[in-house]
Amino acid sequence: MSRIVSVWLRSWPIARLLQAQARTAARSPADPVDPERPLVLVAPGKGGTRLVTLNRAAEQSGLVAGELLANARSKVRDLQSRPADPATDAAALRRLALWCLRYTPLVSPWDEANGADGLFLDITGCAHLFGGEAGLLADLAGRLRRFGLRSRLAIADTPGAAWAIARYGKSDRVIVPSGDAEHALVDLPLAALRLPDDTRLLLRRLGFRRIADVIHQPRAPLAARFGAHFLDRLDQALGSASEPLSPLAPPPVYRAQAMFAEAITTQEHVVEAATRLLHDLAEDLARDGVGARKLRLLLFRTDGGVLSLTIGLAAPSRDARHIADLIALRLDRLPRGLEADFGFEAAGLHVLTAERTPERQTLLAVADDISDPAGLSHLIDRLEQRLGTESVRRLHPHQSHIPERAVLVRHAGDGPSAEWTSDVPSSARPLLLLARPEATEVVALIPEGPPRQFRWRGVLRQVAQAEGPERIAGEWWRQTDNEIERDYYVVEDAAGRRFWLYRAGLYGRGGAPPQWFVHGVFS
Amino acid sequence: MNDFAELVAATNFSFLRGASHAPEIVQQAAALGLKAIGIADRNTLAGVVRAHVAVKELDIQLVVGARLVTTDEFEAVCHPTDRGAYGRLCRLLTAGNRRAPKGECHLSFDEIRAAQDGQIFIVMPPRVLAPSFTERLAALASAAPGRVHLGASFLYRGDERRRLGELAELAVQARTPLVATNDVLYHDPTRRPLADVLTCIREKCTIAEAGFRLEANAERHLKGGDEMARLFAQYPEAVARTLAIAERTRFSLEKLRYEYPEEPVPPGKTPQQHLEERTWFHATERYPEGVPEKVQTLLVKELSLIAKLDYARYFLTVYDVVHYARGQGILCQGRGSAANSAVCYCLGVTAVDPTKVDLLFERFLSEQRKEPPDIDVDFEHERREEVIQYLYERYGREHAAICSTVIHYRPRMAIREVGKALGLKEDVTATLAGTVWGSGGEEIPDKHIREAGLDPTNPQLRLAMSLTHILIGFPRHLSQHVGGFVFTRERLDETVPIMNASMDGRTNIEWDKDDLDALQMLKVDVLALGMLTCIRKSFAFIERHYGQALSLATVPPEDPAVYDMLSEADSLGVFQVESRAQMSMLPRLKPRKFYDLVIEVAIVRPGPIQGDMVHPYLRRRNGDEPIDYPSPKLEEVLSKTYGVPLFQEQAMQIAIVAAGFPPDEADKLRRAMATFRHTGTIHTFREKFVAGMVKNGYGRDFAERCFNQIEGFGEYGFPESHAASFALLVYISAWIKRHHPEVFCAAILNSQPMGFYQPAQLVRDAREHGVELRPPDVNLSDWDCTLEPASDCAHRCAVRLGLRLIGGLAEAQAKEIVAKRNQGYADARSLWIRSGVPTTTLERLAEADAFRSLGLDRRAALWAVKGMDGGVPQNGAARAARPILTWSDSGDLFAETPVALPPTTLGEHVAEDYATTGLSLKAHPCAFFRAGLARRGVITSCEHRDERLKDRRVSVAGLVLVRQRPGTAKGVVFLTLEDETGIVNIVVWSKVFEANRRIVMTSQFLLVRGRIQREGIVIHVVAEEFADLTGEIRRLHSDDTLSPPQEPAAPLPERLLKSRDFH
Repeated sequence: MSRIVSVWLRSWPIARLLQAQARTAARSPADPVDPERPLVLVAPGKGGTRLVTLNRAAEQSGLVAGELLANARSKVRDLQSRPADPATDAAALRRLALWCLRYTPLVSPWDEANGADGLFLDITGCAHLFGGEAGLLADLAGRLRRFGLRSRLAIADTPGAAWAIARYGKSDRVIVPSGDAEHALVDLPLAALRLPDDTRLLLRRLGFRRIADVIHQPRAPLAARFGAHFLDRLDQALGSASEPLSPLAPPPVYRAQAMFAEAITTQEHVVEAATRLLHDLAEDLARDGVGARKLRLLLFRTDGGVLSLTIGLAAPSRDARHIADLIALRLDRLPRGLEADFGFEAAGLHVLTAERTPERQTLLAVADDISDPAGLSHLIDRLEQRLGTESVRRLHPHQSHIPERAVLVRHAGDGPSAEWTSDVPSSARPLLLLARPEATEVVALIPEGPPRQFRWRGVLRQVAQAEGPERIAGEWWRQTDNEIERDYYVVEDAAGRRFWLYRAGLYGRGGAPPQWFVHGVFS
Repeated sequence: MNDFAELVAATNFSFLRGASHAPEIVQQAAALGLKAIGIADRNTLAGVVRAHVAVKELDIQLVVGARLVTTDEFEAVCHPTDRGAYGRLCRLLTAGNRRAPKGECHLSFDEIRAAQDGQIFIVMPPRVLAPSFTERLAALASAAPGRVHLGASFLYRGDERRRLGELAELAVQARTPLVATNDVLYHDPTRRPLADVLTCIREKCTIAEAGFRLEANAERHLKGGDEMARLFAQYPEAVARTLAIAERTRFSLEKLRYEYPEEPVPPGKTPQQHLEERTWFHATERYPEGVPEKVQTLLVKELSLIAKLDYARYFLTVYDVVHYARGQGILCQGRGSAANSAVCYCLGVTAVDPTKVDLLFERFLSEQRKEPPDIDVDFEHERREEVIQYLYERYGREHAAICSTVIHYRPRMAIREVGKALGLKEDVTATLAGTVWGSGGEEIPDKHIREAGLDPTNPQLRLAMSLTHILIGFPRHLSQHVGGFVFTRERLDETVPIMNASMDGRTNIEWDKDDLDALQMLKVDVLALGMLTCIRKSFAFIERHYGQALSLATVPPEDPAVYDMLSEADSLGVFQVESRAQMSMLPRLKPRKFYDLVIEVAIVRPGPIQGDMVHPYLRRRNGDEPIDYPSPKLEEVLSKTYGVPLFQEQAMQIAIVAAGFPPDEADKLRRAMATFRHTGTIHTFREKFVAGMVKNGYGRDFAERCFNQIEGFGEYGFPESHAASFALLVYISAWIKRHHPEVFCAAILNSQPMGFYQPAQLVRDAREHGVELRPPDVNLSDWDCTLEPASDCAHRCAVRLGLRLIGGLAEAQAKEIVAKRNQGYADARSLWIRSGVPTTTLERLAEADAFRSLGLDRRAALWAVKGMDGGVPQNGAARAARPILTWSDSGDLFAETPVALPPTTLGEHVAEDYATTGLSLKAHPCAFFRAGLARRGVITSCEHRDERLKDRRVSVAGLVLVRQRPGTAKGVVFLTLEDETGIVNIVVWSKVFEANRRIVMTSQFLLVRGRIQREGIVIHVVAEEFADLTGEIRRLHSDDTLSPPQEPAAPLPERLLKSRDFH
């Protein structure tokens, strides 16, 4: 007979959200939820957005799952709502299940039919390691509480019985002695059998409420009315039908360790050791068709200290030489050097993030083709190791009529995003925009004539040709006061040099006369 | 000053593109001194009438047209030069509308070219002048030589000089002269933010994401001649040409001046002669003892005016519709201002005797107003469709159609969409939208925003609010009017484009009622009224079971018993006077005659209540206050209402008699009152009114007060004629309720949904009047409620509730059960096999406890039904197999081991009855909690009527039937509770409400502690404290103690009764 722990995590999606919020609070304090006030998770449903999950405060305000968000708002002022995110919830539940592998190798997160808000742990033969079943439950409950999770736990012979007791049992921690399931279950409501809503409703309409009401009824008429599934669920709970758990497979981890016969102290030796470890890993990586995106190098000092370095890559790679180069560059940047003291006696290299690498035809000829993306990403990697991350940037197109807002600066490692769009509605744009528009004196016909001559950087230039104006108004929805209309002109001076000038503001609108600026030069 | 005409201007009827109202465009154009303004909305003429009206008082020419946009984005503005060309444009748009989904118009270039005759085109070039465009331009030019132009705009994109040069060259090549236009989207550059927001709404993106979908600048506004001349300095002929085009497009909507469809008139007679003959003929029917002199005078006066204005065919049209309905046994009655006409009364269009109420014909028809009369006719709501089909058949779809209703942006929708476009969080916009109760409000006051927990000084919010404020009132889309029919003599689709309605196969025109009014087209409102259905069904019951034939005209008048009943506020279900406000007014007003009902209907309206006319009227009526009239002339006007103006007609007459307004001007005043919140023209009348009264010797102070009163109730006041039409239905429905409560109960249940109350209350009320009610049953009920001989052999029948009361039961299947039952079904299985209905239907019937005649209670029946097809959900195969079983019609094919079902408690029965039929004849849910309630000191509804409890503090409890928060009551909430003995009316002052908002808004079962306020038999409990007992309802399902408190909320929240909430 197996022994199953059932862990029910109450309001799991909300608990998950709050955990995520606590983790990111430092970085983005914007828009936090207050767990003490009513909070609901919502999803689009029939007739509009409906509540999916509620926190305790929301339940106490009389809200129920399934009702329309609009109605809920009319009942509760300042109702906090966030979109439900079942995929993230499931992923987080999976991570928690991974963590539970510390208790037993057989852990199974609940699927939809089970509510997707808990875990089964098959602890058959494991409990003694944690001081028996009671000890295990106490340990598990304590740790979950420290994670900020409210849980209800039960141990029984079958997943069905354990699930039922965790959800509907009398207390938060119940151990059902082996072979005692029926006794423990009879008083529970029929909902404890994990039945579909329509079956539950029908049973209720017919007056059946507890498991005791159906347990000894003739089976054929029940099957005729509620289907075979109903009897299956009953049998699964009582242990007369088996219910296999689908165990969670641990994710692949790439890890290499090395012990040194003699402690190493120099950077050269460290790089050498790291290269060896990389070669060890490369085989596994190549087998799985992935490359490392993020690595951690651990150097264990003889005195018990650990030096830990994290290295990120712009593109997944398993090129040992390239990564070793990066490690070397990284070591160069250590503020206090290697601090090897008595030397390192062991090293470990962990691949923290691995990503699939596209297989590429290797070049027959050696080429230093600048358009080679791998070459570019290696360059970015090297620059970043030398200058620090975030210091290499890449321009991205952005749809804005305001010229200086038409590009966004992003971290180079993000890779090129969208194509530069070709249907920019505006006409000529200079290749080089000045970092800041520079004021200039202009002679022009009022109100909208193009410049006749202008003085810029001390040189007076006569305008030979001009086109314009192109009028660009400010982005009124921005809360800055610097959103004045500009009239842009492309002008060409007598020497054939072309400039991009604008006048900020229009004549005849009162106030000070508009000012002129040079904003760019055409090549 | 350079002359210029802007020929390409979009209004906000170019939905989510144009950012100004048509009047704004037209007024701005006139202010800029433009010679003409051409309205060209995107594939529609929906906005032109508004421009047409706005232009009337301005010195500017309107050029009517549309901007035709093909599905492959060829754009040409089309301005018809004459009526024929206008007709072709309408037909073109109709064709495009009809083939496209609602709200879209699919046109092709070939169709545009085919409709070119008489049109002037301004082709709007795309950004890139592709060869395909130049080919089409040339093609159109050769089809319509001399009438195709190329539009050129100076939009400050930087390359205008080059672009204009290219266009000028193209213009020469294609022989399509250049025309200067600013391709206007709004009247003033300050509308750019709104235009951008509209773009975001259209493109379903936020302003930050919109990017190049937004215009770079604010140049697409109306510009004056001088500026256009400056911009087009190199092409002065392009500017001058606009005037020539305006000169050539002299078509005006005035040319659509209505011609009524021909009515069949006996040969040798004019319509007027025919109308007069019919009128006098029916007058003798109405007055068998001879037509009274007063009526004769009225008829002569009205008929001569009708002759003068040539409206005879219009009256004959309405007469024909009404006659058709009468012939089909469909009850109908004219309402509104038509009831001011003696001709309408004689023709049977209206039912109010002109001798009984004062009629003001000017309200209906006036010579100066030059508007066709407005006749609204109510028909039984269940049979209105027959009338509509008759109209289509009689006039044909080419000549009759339903007009549209312009759906405008209301505050909630506006704030939602603006907020979304500005990227405000959904929470915030929802909260803002939530601060507007109902849909009336114009601007959200800061106070409300602060109350909602937001900061009104936040610039982002300010921006959203100010844009929302402009967007409110913008048209959003066109929808079908409920019953406004328009008739034409010419082909309708050559008068106005026709479009698809959302209902399949339905169409409506692009103009709404106001547009039709403005163009003086003939329209008749064919409306639906539930009470007429109820009355017709009542008459049928009375005739069948009691042998008395009745009609609207023959119900015995002025029956004191009816007035006694109404004075007791015993009016549940009675037309118009069943609301809580009416019920508390009835005992104060104590109606004794028909005219009292007219006043009752009119006085409980937001207008008189806000104008503070209710209390003076009651005081004067009860003799508590002397009645004085400021002048003998006003006494004539106001004597019937004791000196207090209650009706719109009185306001008009005060203006005529005291302020010296000519009648048609008084009517303008009435219209201004009705819309003063929107147009703000009322103040122009104020001075005139006050000055007029002062001149006639009234005190300025009195005159001001008079005007304020009129203004106060203008918007919501009833015309007397309308009130009189309704009062007649009040009397008739009250008469039926008084003399045949069982008939009334059955008829009103068979006419649901209608009225203010739900079946549970109607049934309870009937039982209180001694009616015997019987539950729905598969062997005994029809679909409708029926009357059966009563068990006590009294003369009064019992009501058998129909299967229609069972929620979720398909009518066709219920009727199948009734049709196949012959001598009755012997058991559940034979019911299933013989009727052929799916088991899901039988389940529903079992849940509603409708198997009692088969000896099965709801659980036994459900068990039996569930076992019928082996628990397998009904599928096609199982259905097909069923008839084979009919050889053994009787018993089961195999014996089952019996299963002991848990017995059902009475509480469970009641809860299930409510869940399935919305009512229970077995018991009232409150009865189960009475002992517990009594322990908490709760008294019953019956007990709270004890006069000794006046001003005492009590506790009451009951199911919440109705929640109301009327806009006129300053945040006060009215609740209606019901327990097993009756109803309790609760008043919640706004402060108490805010403190108990959630409980008040959500409780189904509520305990209220408060003070009893009593005036005569009108009793309110003024709430102080609340306790939500909703959770108790679950206890009806026996002792539900087995779920531990940790159990998440029940998956199926029990809802005994859905309250009706009016916000």
